[in-house]
Amino acid sequence: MNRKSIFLSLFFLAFLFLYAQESGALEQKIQDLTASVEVVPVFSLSLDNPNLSFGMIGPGQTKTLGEGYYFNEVKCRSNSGRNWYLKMQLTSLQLLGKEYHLSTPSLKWKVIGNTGSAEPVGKMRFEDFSAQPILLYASLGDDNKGKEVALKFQYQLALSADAPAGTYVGQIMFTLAESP
Amino acid sequence: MKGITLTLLILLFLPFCANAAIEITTDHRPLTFAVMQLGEEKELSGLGAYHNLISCSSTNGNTWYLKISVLQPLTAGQEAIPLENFRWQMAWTNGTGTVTNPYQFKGFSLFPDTVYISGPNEATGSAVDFQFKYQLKIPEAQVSGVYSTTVRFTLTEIL
Repeated sequence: MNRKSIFLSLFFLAFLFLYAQESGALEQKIQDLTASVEVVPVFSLSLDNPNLSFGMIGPGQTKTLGEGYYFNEVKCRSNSGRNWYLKMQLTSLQLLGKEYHLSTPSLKWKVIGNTGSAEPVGKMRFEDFSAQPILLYASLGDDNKGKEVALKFQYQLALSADAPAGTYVGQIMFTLAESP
Repeated sequence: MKGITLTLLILLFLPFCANAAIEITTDHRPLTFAVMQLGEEKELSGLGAYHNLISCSSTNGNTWYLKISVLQPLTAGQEAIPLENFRWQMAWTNGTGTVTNPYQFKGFSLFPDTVYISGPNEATGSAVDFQFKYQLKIPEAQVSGVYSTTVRFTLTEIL
């Protein structure tokens, strides 16, 4: 038997050995399928009552809207994954039927309850309005994933001694934005 | 000498020509939940029957197992939908073996979950078919975007 034959025989035996090992191995096969879904974006703001109507009020008197409960509620929802900010601004405050406008410090606001991951400004204490938008709430955590954030408000009008008696009305504007 | 060499070569290549002993096939239908709202729940079940048909066969004579898993949760970038919100159900089989979660929805796992254990005479070449349904519930708080993953069916002789 020459060298070549010996080599070939050894190679064949080695292969048979490996094949026998392979045949005894437990088998496994896989099949894959793709799964997908698109979660729609949400960016919403709602307010149940933007009109502040204090009714009849006399000089030196103070009147609170929503006393014992709340006057209006704003709801915010965003799932953009980014921070958002809720702002509020007084757009008008006047004597009904007359061209008499009160200064913004006459009116105050208070957050008397809220949901959400952060704490709002002005919670449980009356704050002054200003000529500029007020930053009420800066989102946190799950607020950025679509969890609804609701804030409930009361308003208080303190009429100065030199202001005329009458029915006073006001209007406020809320803004939901991704910039502070 | 030449004859011996030729015989050896033939014997070397014969095993590679043999048929596979176990086989799994799918209908290749992707799990497309399309567009969903926050808090929405959806079921993929075709016309009320099933969404996917999976077929398994074996000629090995060994017990085999059909398993299901996902390679990751439904993911979009850094965001993921919780695994327990994505569920599967084996709705029907013509097999006579053991169904591990009889016709109930179960949350997907990253580790293969045993769906079925073959019965006697189910490793002799006949195909055993399985029909699958799926459910997905979007949480009330979930960042918007397109989420995806890979669902893996494993046919194995390993428990």
